[in-house]
Amino acid sequence: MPPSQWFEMHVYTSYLRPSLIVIALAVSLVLAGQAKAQTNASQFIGQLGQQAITILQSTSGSLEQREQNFRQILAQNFDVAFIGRFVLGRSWRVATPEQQTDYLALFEDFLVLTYSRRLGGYTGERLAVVDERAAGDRDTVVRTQIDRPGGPPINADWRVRATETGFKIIDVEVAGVSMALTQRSEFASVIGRNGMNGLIEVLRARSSKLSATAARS
Amino acid sequence: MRMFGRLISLATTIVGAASLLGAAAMADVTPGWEAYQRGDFAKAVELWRPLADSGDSSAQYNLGIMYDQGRGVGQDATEAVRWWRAAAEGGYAPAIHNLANSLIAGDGVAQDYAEAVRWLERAADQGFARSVYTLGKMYSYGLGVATDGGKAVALFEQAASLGNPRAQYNLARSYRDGEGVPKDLERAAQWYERAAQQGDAAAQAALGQRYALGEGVRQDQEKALYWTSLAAAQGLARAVEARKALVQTLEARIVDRVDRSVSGFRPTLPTQ
Repeated sequence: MPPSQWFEMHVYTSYLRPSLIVIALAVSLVLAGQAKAQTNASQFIGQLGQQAITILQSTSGSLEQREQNFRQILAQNFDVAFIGRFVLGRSWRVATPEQQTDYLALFEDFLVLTYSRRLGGYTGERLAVVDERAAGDRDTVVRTQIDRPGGPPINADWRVRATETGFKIIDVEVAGVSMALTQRSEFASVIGRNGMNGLIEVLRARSSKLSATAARS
Repeated sequence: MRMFGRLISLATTIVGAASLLGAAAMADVTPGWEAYQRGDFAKAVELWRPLADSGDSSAQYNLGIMYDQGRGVGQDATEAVRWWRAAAEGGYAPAIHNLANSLIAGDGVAQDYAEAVRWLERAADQGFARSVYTLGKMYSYGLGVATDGGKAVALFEQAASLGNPRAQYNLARSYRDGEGVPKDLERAAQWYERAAQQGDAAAQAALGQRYALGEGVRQDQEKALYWTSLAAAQGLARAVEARKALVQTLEARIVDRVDRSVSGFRPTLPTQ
């Protein structure tokens, strides 16, 4: 019998005061809802990790093509606009609409490049979900361990939010350090020195760098 | 006579050094490249390092990438800049481009817009499209040079013609808004299309919007949905929203037909 039904039956058979029953019922519903959300958040991260690793370790196509596919998956599963605004802090509101558009487009590149480089691309890489916990009202933090041969394992904690369009990642803590908070303080100092256009240029410069080449000089 | 002997020995040394450099330049970066492609980054570094030490520009450049990304070595932006500078001094355009971008971002080197512009001009002289585009941005924002909208658009036009999708996108935007050039909606749509065909998500979204509004192209909701869907599939949030709105106005069979052609899309190869 599902817990909510059990409580309904209890309502009619017990002598508890109605207000207590209402609270108990509400708590049981919240717990049931949360347990479901958490399980799905773990599955979401687990499947995403599996998908990412399958793509990166496929033997067809160049590493660039595989990374491009990986970046596409990241872009689809991160709430890029939310993170982008958070990372900008109060500078978001004073930016012009054109700056906001330029920034968000470049921020997406920056974000997926940062994550793909920190977390992906190694031979024999594996991601395992360790556990999960609720964070705030809406979020779940899924703890994972990424193992790679010939290197220390990476502990990555994914903060996941249930949105209208499904689960979205809104932050990742690598070795206990929040990427969003790190980026926020870095961006604030760039804006302090060179203004919003300076930040946009830094992001453009980073996303413009080319990767390794097979060409001979 | 002694003087002459010295000259000969000096000349021999120079010729010897040059032939060593020649041998290094001909050395093969391919085994390292194959290791890199396999994701064996430590091996790639091990194979590229001796080539880089002996002066091979592409190995120096690749080693810089490994330091920049922290692959196969600890991440070290200063080391990355050192190797890119070595290859850049040899005139290797990708290294010049990355060095200039490190100077712009202040990654591993003190930020220096003016020096970045000097390097970008060097790569632009070689017709390196990405650097031409970045140089356009420097003129557009007035970083390291005086702001010059006309010069910026001229550089975007040059980079766009060389096939750079970001330049094509920016040029399209300039034509759409009449910024630095006379307003020309048809030309704007054409440049959006060239960038969209190369897989540029922002350009795909913008082209979808052109078709939805019939600006610079004949209005066509099916094509609007096609390009908007391609941008949405890349995760572009505003395209995801725009797609939802379009789907509601179109018949299901048209949406199905578009979905099928979307999955068959293959971007044309960028030139650089």
